[in-house]
Amino acid sequence: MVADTMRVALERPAKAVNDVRLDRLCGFEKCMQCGRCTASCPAAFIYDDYRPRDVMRKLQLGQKDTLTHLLWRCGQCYSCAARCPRNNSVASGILALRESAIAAGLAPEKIMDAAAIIRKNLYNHGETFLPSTFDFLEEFGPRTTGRCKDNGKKRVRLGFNRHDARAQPVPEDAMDEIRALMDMSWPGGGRDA
Amino acid sequence: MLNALRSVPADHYYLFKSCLTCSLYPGIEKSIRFVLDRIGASYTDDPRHSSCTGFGYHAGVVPLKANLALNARNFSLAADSTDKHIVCTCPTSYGNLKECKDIISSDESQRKFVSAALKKVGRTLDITPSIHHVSDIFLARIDDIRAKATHDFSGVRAVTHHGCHYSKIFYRDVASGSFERPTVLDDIAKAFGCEVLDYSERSLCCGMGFHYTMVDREYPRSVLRRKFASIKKAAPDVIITQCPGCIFNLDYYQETLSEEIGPLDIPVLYFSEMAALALGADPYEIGLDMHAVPVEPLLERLGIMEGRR
Repeated sequence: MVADTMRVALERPAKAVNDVRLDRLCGFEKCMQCGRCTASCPAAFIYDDYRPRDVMRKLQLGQKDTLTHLLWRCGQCYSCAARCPRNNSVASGILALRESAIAAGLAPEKIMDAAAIIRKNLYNHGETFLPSTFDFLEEFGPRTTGRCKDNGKKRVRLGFNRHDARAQPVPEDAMDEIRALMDMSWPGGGRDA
Repeated sequence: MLNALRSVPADHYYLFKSCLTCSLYPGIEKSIRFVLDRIGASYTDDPRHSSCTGFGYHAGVVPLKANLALNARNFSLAADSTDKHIVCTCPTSYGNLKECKDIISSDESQRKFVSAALKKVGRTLDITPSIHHVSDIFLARIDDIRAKATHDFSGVRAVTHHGCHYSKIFYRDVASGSFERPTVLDDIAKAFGCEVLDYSERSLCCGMGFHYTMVDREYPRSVLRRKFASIKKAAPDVIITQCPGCIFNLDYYQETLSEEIGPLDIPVLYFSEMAALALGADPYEIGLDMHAVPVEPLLERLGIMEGRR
């Protein structure tokens, strides 16, 4: 057990896992714990328990299982990657860990709900985000709600489809290809979407 | 001219539509086509390409293999087109397509997987199309665009906000300035007469955060509190962006943040909306009435609303 504040050299780095984002893009073995990533991270500014530098340390120590509850803290801005003097990317490593957490059934329920919406959007329309995915307009205050509540009609005036993101939705033969590729590449398949 | 800008193709663009832009600000897509049409650019608007999946990929819910397979198909569509240079509306598409290309070309097992998957749907793997963000194209062709301008933004005080997935993932490819201080939008805004102001939190993310926008909007709100406290000190007339996530965040959260940090009400424009307005586009035809913070007072001040509904 290594205390958060203690920095020690490693005798043997942790074994790599089979995901290019952890094995190559993340680069945790090269991390020298300088902390530029943590200083740059908007999520670390907000959450006391999330520090990109410590994510890299845990990876070096082979303790990735201890990170499960922190994986969705990252907002994916890549400030850590841009500022790293060793060309590492905590944000890329986080993506690999998120994918394995979901596969292991360890992701929060809200994330699984979002995953289901996005998979359905892609499987039915070839789009990740649809006009209907934005279903929280009222949170933004009465004036914004008043101004934007008819945006659905306005998009039609602009020549766009009311329920699809596009002016011209992805044609059906193209959708067949998209669905076939999803069935081949998305564990659990896309057919139940 | 900077090296990154020199590599921007002069013409023949494969327009890569953004699901977030088309869903929230469809007028932005129209403003891009309006400007490209005015300068006589040749481009393909292919309905067959899918979303890049980037919004879901960065939320952590789209598996890497699905991301690679769907974008390998998108690459093959562009490769088959006469307009082969992929031009993205959204910085996340730009960054994600570049990452997919990087992984497919460097990782043999993933390459074999996507190649076999594409074969099953009757396509051949071809990742040769180049990838650009539409702001790079506008900057490279700024003289052509300015030559068609009928309005300018002289006297308008602007701040810019560049998308993180434009400047921080492939950070060596920023077309003007550096990743710490990208100036693509500054250069474009200045070309239309704006005065560009500095602010301390220029490089801070907008906080959109992908899954955060769907499941926990306290995160974007917290990041924007910092961002707007800094923007407010500069007191700009307009905020210029290049990303649909950023424009949504900077625009929609202003009303409720005003209750916490004092009045904001700063209109937010996509750089292509500003360019289309400068070239005489009807504000309603590019959907400016769909913005959360009213843009109309700024347009009235510039004399752009005259004769409009």
